[in-house]
Amino acid sequence: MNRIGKQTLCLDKKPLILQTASIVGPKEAQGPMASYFDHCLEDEFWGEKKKKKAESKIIKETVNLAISKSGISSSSIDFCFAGDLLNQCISSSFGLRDVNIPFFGVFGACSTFVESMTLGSIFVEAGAANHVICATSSHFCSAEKQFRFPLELGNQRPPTSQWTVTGAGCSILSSSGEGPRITHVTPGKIVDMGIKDANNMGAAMAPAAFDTLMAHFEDTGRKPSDYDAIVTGDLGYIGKDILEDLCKTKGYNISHNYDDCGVLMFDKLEQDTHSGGSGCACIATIFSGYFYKQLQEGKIKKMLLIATGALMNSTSSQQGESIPGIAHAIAIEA
Amino acid sequence: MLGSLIPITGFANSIVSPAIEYKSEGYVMGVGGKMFTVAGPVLVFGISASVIVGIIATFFV
Repeated sequence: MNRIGKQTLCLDKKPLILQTASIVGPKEAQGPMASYFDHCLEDEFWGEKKKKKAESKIIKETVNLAISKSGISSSSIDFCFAGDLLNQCISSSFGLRDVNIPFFGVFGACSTFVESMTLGSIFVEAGAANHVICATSSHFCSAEKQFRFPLELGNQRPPTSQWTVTGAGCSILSSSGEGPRITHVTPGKIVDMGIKDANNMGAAMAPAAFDTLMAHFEDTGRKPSDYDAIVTGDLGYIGKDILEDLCKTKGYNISHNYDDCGVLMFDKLEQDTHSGGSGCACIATIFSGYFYKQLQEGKIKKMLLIATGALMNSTSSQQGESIPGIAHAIAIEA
Repeated sequence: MLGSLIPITGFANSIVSPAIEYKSEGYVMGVGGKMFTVAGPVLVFGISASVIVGIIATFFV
């Protein structure tokens, strides 16, 4: 492993993604990607009375599913990297308290999935672990309760807003076996362009995605056409347009092979999700369900996965603060 | 009649919906402590404005 350029690590051993799992809620199950997820819930509370308990159950069952699909025992998993959107990441810590694996709680807002895969792949590359779990979750109801208004209030959502995905995604990284491999990781810097509108996450996060994307291309010497797919986490329709425009200012045209999981997750017209999906689980479920299969089947040979996060809390906007964004990228080859 | 129902039901909704949302945190700290999170500013500034208007109406008009 060595650092190339400003902020990219080139992984020589190329940790592989041994297996993934994804579980989503009922609204996601009605979307265009439904057939790719392992399990679709009929009830977003999954029999639990409380929202946070439901989210904990979803991440726990997703991790268990990934372990059982992989064929390895949970005792042979060395470390677990997980996080979510809730205060103190309680969904992950409460959900995974019984897995009995040394645990790193990670917070990167909606960039958590790729942040945990970045850290996990570095552990595997360095020989500190043979198997690592990277998991994250989000839940529409618990996110609305923490960040916005009570659900029963029926508050109007502006067109720039996004819908927090209910679900969890998990990937198991390994030093041996068969699977798509992580070749490069480009951790992102915090980028704050002064966006203060908490209802426009896409605009807040797009500059961070742009910064990381440019750093990745400059560090590796690659260009957009080197990848079959460049995929961001949850910029949504608005953030996706902004990122394409920003890339054009530097002479990079990504519109031919670029997509966003927030745009892919829901049907904009039928499901009234405005600017698209968001939340940690957006990229986690779509990568674990859809893109992982495309890599396994060889339909995508090389992809760049960039998770984007808005590093705010429920009161920072009220205090007049702007919304810093962050984006982490990993390059994966089939 | 309808003109009175709409603000009343809207205001009731603004108190009932947090009460439902925070029931999981218990009746005292959850429901009791947080049911006015949405309606609170309406009560504070509405009552303050009416006190000021009342003082003006009583002593200066």
